[in-house]
Amino acid sequence: MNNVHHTNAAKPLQRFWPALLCLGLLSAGLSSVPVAADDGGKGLSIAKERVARDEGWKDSESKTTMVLRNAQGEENKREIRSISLEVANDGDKGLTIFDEPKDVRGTAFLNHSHTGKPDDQWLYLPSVKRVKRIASRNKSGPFMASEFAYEDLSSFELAKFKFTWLRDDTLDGEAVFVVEQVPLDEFSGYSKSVVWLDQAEYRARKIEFYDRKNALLKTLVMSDYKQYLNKYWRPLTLKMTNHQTGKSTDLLVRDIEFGKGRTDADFDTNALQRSR
Amino acid sequence: MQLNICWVLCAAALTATAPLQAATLGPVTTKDTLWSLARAARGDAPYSMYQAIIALQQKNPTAFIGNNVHHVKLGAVLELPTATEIAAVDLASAQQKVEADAASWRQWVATRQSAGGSHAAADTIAGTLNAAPTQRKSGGLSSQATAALARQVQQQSEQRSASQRSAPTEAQTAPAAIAPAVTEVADVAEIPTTPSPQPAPDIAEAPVALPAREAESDWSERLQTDTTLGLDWRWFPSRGAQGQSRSALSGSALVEWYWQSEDERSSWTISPYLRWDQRDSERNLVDLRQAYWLTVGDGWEFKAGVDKIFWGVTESVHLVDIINQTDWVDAIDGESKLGQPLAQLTLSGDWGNLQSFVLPYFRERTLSGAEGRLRLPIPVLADDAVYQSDRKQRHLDWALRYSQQIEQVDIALSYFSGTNRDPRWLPVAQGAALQPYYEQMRQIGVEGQWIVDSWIWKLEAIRRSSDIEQFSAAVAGFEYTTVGVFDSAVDLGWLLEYQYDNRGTLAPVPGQRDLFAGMRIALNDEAGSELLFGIAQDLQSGGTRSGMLEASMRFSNNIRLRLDAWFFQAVSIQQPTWWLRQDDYIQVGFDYYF
Repeated sequence: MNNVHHTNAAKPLQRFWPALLCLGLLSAGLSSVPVAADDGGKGLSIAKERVARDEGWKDSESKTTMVLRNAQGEENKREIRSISLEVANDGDKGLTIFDEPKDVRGTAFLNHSHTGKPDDQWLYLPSVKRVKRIASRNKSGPFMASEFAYEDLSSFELAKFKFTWLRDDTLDGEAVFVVEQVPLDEFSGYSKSVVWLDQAEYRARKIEFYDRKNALLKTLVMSDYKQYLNKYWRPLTLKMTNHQTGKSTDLLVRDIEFGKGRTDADFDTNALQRSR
Repeated sequence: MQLNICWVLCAAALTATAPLQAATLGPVTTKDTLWSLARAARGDAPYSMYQAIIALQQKNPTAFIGNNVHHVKLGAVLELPTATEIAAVDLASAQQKVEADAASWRQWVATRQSAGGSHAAADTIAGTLNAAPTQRKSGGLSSQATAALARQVQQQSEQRSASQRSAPTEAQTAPAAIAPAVTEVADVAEIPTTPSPQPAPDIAEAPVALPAREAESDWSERLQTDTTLGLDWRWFPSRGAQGQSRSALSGSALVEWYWQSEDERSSWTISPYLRWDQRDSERNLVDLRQAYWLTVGDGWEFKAGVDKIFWGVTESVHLVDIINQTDWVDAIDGESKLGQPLAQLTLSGDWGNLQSFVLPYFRERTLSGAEGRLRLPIPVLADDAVYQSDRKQRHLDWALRYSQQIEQVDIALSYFSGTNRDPRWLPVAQGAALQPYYEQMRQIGVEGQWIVDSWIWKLEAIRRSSDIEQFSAAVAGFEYTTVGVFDSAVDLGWLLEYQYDNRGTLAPVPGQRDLFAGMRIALNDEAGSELLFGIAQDLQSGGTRSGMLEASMRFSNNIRLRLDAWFFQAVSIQQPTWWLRQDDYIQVGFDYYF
C-alpha cells in the first residue's frame, strides 16, 4: 500500500499550480463569456486590461522558497522549482518539483489548468515511480500546509470571476483600482476577494480574501515587482497572512527566466516522470 | 557556476540584438564579455562604459561574484539598467571601481596560477575579492588580457566622456540625437562582431582554455546526489510458526546520483540500494534500483539500463504491473521492486503514448529465509530456482503498453511475453523443501480510469496464459476525496476496491472475491502527518481478512517517522494468508534524507 501512502504524503502538495510568479497575472483565452456587473462594466474592463498586459510570455521558470510562520512566529521552509507554459484559449500548464522538505524531494506535480472545467492534475511519486492522476475539483485546501490555497496560486482567468469596480484609491502613495472578484466556481473557498491594482501597470498589489461566511480570512501583499522582457511584471515577494489563525506564509521567488522554448511536450506525463 | 567574462570575446550575439529593447540579458554564456554585456546594457545611450558596467552590477548584485565586475556567474540573467540608472552612476568612482576590480582580479589569477590553483591560494585571494571561499572555479587568465580590457574600457569611456562634455544636457534627454552616439550605433550595426572600435587581439587569444574548464566544473554542478538512510524495527506479538524471533531490526541505504546534460536532452541515473537485516540473511540485499541512460527527442524517449517501471491505477493490488520483480521481503504489499535491466523506447503524440520494452535479464523474487517471518512453512531453496526456458534468467522478455487520455478518461492496454515474475513452488526432497519455478507466460492487461468531480473510478484487468494455466483477474473500485472536513484543513480519502480472480479459492493470491475498504487522512499540517488504513475482507469466507495501517509524520526537514502495521486472519489452510496468520506485526522506522 505504499502507493496510497505516498500519494497521501504528497496530498498537501497536490493543489499547487506552479505559476507563483504569475499569481493573478496570467492571461488566458476566454472559453466563456464573463458575467457583467453593475459598475458599468468598469471592473471587467480593468480585469481585461490586466490580462491583456500579460499576454505573450510563452514560458517561464522560477525557484521559490516558502516560509511558513505560525502564530508563535516559528518558521518552516519549503523549496520548490516550477516551469510554466502559456496556453492560448485555455488555462496554462505548470510543472512543479519539490526539493524540500527532503522527505518529499523529487515529488513533482503537473497541472493543466482549464477555464470552465476542472483542471487536469497528476502527481509523480518518486519512491514507486508512479504517476498518479488526481481529482481536482476542490481547490480550497492548503498548499503544502501553507496559508496559500491551491486556488490562490492558480492562473488568473477572466472566466473565473464576476468583477465589480469598487473605487479608485491610493495604496502606499500610488493610484490604484479597487476591484471586487466573486468566484464563479461553487467549490471556491471564498465568497469574494478584493483586489488593489496599481493604475500604472495593472499589477495586483494586495488581495483580501473573504471566507464563505463573508468574514475577512486572509490578506495577500505582493511586492518587489520586477519587469521581464520589457513587459511582464512579476512579484518576487508574496506575503499571505491569515487573520483568523495568525499564521502567515511568504513566497520568495527567484531566478525567474523566460523564453526557454518549452513546448507541450515538456508538460506531459512523460516529462513529469523525467522531472528532477 | 561562474566565469570571468573578461576573457571571453566577441559580443556578436549581444551587440547585434537591439539594446534597451530587452529588459533582461542572458543567460550569460562563455561567449559573453564584460564589454559586450555593458554595451548591451548601455545601448546607444551616451554614457561611459564605466557607468554602464557599474549600473549593470548595481542592478544585478547577485550575478557578480565577490562584487567584482569582472566576475559574472555563468548562466546569470542580467537585468538591464535603465538610462536613468546608468546616468545616476558617478563616472569617477565607477572608473575607480572597474580598475580596482581588474587589479584584484589580475592579482587573484596570477596567484592562482603560481599556486597551481590550490585551494589555499584561491581562498586567500578570494578573501581579498570579498568573495566566498568556494568561488574558485574559474580557470586561468592572462594578465595581458585584463590589461587590454582595461585599456579598451578606458579608451571607450574617454570617448564617451568627451561626447558627454560636448553636449551633457542633450545627452541625457535625447541620446540618439547627438553625433557621437550615432557613430557608435553605426559601429555596432556595421561590424557586429567587433566589440569596440579598438579591438584588442591579445584578449581574443586569452580565453581558449576556458570552455573546457568551464565544462568540467559545469559537469559536476549538474550532478545531483540524494541519499536516504532508513532504520526499521519490526515487532511481532507472537513467535513465528517455526519458532522465529519476535523482533528484527533492519537498516537500508539508498543513494541516487543524477546527472543531466547541459542541453537537458540526456541524463544518467544511478541508484544503488543496500539492506541489512538482523535476523534473516535472505533480507540482506545489494541491488541496483536504477542505473540507466536516458535520451529524449521530439515525441520520443529512449532508455537503456536498469530501472523501475510502474503500470496501473488501483491501490489495493497491482495486477497489470509486470515489468519489475517484487522485492517481497522489503514490503509485503508488493510495492517494493528490484531494478530491471531493460531497453525502453517511448513514442508519444496526439494519438497516445506507446512504450516498448526489451527485457534481457530476469530478476528472481526475494523470499524470506529460515530465520525470517512472513514465509511458507517449508524452507524455500531461493538460490536454486528452476526455469521453463533453457535460457533461464537470460530469456529475452518483451512488453508493450499503449495509453491514451481522452478528457476525463485514461485507458491503457498492455502486453507482456516472457518469464513470469510470480514463482510457482516445486516440492523437492520428499516435500522437505520448495524450489521456485519460473514459467514462460503471456499477459494482456487493461487499465481504465475515469475522473468525475471528486471521484476517481478505477479498473485493472489481466488475462494471463502459460503452459500450466490460464486465468483472468480484475480489480475495480473508486477513490473519493473530501477536502477540508469539518471546516478544518484535514482531507479524507475513501477507497473501495473489489478484487476478483477466476481461479477462485485455487488462486495463489488472497484477492479472489475480496473487498478492500480503506481510508486515508491527511492532516495538512506542517509535519505532513498522514494515516492510511484498510481492510481486505474475503467475501466467501467470513473469517478471512487482512488489514493494514500506515502512518507517518515529518520530524524535521530531514527526518520522517513511520509506523506500519499488518494483521492476517485466515480460517482455512486454503487461504494464502493461512501461513501468515501468526505474523501480525508492527513496524516503526525513520528515514533520514540528505
